[in-house]
Amino acid sequence: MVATDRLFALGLAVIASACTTGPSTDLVVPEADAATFKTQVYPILLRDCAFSTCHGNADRFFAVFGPGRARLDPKTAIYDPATPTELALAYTRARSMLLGPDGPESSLFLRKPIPTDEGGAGHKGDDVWGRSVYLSVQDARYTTLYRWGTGTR
Amino acid sequence: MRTAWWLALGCALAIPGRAAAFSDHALFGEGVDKGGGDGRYFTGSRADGQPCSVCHQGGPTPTILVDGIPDAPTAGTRYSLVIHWPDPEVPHALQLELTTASGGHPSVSILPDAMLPAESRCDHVASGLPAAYTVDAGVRRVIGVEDCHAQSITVSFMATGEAIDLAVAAVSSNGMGDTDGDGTFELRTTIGGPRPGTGGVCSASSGGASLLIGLAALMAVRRRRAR
Repeated sequence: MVATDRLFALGLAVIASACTTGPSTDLVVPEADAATFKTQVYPILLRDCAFSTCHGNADRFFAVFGPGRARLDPKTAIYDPATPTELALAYTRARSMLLGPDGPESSLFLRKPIPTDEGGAGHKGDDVWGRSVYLSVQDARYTTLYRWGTGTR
Repeated sequence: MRTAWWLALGCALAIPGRAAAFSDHALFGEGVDKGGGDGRYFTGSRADGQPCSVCHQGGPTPTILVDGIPDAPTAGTRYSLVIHWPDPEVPHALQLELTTASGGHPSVSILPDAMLPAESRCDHVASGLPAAYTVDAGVRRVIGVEDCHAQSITVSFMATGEAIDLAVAAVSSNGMGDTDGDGTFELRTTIGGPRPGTGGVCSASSGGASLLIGLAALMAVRRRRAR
């Protein structure tokens, strides 16, 4: 395991322990593969969500920080690679967003970025043409998010 | 010919300034692992979806003039658009795109170096480097302007007989190296007739102030036409 992976795992553990100190609930956050998140999902979120007026913003629950975008720690150089804490935060928040009444398929993470006529939940973050982040559930990037979120291949 | 003054207001959301992305235009095409746009050029075209204002915000609105938009272009005829801004000392970076229904570009080009006037060069001097650059990304052609104190660029395209979308997005930086306190401009219009589902001519940020400025801009256009 390389040093950044160890730091990433440590960050996850720290955040996870912080999250489990609150009141217990019956909700179970879906399992979601951290390695796939780091290599496949995080780059998509960085590309399509992490704008500073959108989810590249600490005021948002679903927050994504990273290179070329807003940095979680303002002292991080703008083009430095994603820090373990940034990765851990994005992973934890994205995983939390997979909670849905009928499983991950019904979660906001998977329903927010797609058109309402394809099962989308509506999203303030439509583009300037009034379109969803992904024009269709067939979009390759959305498919990657879906497969990660639902644990399917 | 249409002459349009378009003014847009940057959003006034209070978000701490953090990032200063893409001062190097090559980064638009780079992957996100390098901090790039991964193919997003933020022109506000259909291919990009978002203009500069998705990150930059909070500063005074830059004034940008787009001249030469034809009302009824003739297929096969080449038209020139002149985009200029009154104060070259105010930092401006601009990206624009002309797209056809297929997503390609209608033979878009910029003036060759030998034909560039001083105002289209950095520091608006005859010896300056060209301020405008061209980036081809698949079927797209994006025209950008370096933030180097030029004052105008000329972009030409060939009318195709179908509707052509023009999207212009610009940032007037406050020089602080982050996305906060920067003014943004955006224009989206269709040349050669409406295309279904375009969602309007120009999108500025919401709010009464921008509406008033938009109305003032329209009145200015009418006054210019009346002369």
